[in-house]
Amino acid sequence: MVDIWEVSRRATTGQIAKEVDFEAKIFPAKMKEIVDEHKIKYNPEEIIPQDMSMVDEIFQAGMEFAMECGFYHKGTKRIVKFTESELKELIRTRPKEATFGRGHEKIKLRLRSPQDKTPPITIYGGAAPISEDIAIINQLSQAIEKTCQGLTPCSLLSAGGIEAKSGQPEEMWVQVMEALWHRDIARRAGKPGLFLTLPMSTQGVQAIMASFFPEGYTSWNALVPIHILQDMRLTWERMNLAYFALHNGIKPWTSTWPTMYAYCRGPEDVAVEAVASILGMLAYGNGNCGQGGTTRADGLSSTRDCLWANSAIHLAMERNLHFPWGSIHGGARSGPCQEVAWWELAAYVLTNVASGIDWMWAVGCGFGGAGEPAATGMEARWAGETARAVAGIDPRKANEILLEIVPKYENIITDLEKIPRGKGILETYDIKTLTPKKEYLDLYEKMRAEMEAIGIKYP
Amino acid sequence: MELPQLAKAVEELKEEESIDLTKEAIKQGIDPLKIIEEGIVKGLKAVGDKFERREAFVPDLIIAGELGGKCIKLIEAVLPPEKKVVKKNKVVLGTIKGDVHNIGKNLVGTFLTINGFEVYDVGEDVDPMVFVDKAEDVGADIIGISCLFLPSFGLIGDVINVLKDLGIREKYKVIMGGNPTNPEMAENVGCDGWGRDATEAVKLAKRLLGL
Repeated sequence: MVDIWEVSRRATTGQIAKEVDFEAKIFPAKMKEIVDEHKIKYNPEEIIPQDMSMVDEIFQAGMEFAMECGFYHKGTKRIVKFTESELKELIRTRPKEATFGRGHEKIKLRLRSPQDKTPPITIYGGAAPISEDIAIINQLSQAIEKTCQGLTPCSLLSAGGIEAKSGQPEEMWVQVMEALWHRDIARRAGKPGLFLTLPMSTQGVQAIMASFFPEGYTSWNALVPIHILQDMRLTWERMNLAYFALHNGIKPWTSTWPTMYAYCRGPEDVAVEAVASILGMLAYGNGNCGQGGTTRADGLSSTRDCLWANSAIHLAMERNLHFPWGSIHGGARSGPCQEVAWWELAAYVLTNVASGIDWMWAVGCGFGGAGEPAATGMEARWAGETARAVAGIDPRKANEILLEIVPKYENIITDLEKIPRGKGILETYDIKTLTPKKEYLDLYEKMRAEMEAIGIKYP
Repeated sequence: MELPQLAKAVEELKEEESIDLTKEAIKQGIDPLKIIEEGIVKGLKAVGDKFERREAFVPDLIIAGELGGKCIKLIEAVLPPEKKVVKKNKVVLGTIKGDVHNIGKNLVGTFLTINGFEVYDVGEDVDPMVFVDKAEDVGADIIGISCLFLPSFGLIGDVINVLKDLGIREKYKVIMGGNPTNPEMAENVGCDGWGRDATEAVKLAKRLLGL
């Protein structure tokens, strides 16, 4: 079976190409050819694709894209390619489940189908940059939620007043502190064995490696990020991390996140690239679970084109890859504790749960930027309870409901003047008791009633 | 031969035709600056407009930028000496160290090129000193820094500090952008401006240089 050593060999022997030729000629030409050949077509009225033959074509197209376009190694300027039999062997040898966490918090990721009545494993937190002043309390509000089965760290901008700086000791310091604090948050929430997903504050190889130690991230509570860079690009850094994971018995975080309307022309291209990227990562990372999603070049993730791409990716993986597969959301564009944010989240949850994902990472509100309010426990509660409410829904019915939900926010989040900034933990929670204030509990009940009115029954 | 034909060929990314039409325009004695403005730049701007309408994508912009550059080189070769000394505004552009994102940076570079700037792309994961060295080498007017990964953000301040310590801060306008950043962050770190996207980056660059 192809492995990290073989990928490394191909990275130093494959066809040499200029990066500009790969990205501006090889990638787009091959993508267009393959998408056309497989007749993959986005339908904005069918957010969850109903034609499973097209879904299977997406997977097949992704395999062909991995074989024919290949992966560009930025270090050696060579293209790494795989054969069909190699990719099929990678698919055939994937494990069917993955276990993380410890003790009461132990979780098993197992294969779900779109109408599975068991909800996916629900994971919160992460992604948004956050000030260290409120990082712990903010994340704790998510960790204590009943449905929290995993918690991703937020990106710390500093720790102990020391600002993270890439490539410097400060970066390692902040990453190590993130690991320690994150373990502490889990303990304070009464969930010491919680799955903590992956290091988030930094991208530096040394910093990520430094954060794995017995009191911080470990093989049972976190994974090592080894992502292929957007648009089919490999680096030695990610491959070194894959080796670090392999050597230490840590599982790799195998995720894909193509940007829509940049190198990918639209949702069809994104779905194909996502499949191809995952196959590439399996070749050098040998992962036991994966996850994917997309965001648009304008930073939006909850629009119907993104939801369609997410659903198409998940269905393609669920039907063809057969290993624990999860969703990632770029976050609601609206700030937290706002109706708009919760409609965005509801659409994300419904789309993904009805597309058969096995685990769901609900970031909440993430991409408002530094200094903007970060998602609170209320977003976690909303996502988790909604996931449980929609588990088992017929995908056709889910699509009908999505066509009611998405219009509630799609014209707001595309208008910079109208996007609600939201309110963060200090405004929405009683910090002494770490409970949401009445105003936001009332909003929650109102939203729940509206969801019930359109056919979602909460447990 | 008419210049709208050239603009159309550039817009449609027809390299051979664009080059032939440029040569033809030169041969006909059309004012070289008019060929650039009404032929090549007009075609490039049309590609940029298509991008805004999602009828063109990043690869198209890259190809358009390269194609435009080839045509302009042909014209520069025949420009009379007095016109050759016309200074082109130069931008050194890159993604700061620790960050390997390139989509936003590439878009900004292409939009700046389309709008007549000479762009020196120093790539991704770039040390602060590389920005400064390149700016000094090429005699840049602007240093543009992309940052999508916040632990890298502090290094933008290092670019500013290096410029100050070398006593050359006033020589350059330093601008930045990237999804998790905002105008306040740019101001706090000492930049001269912040752009939300490629279109804003062009407006910002022009405003800062008084164009």
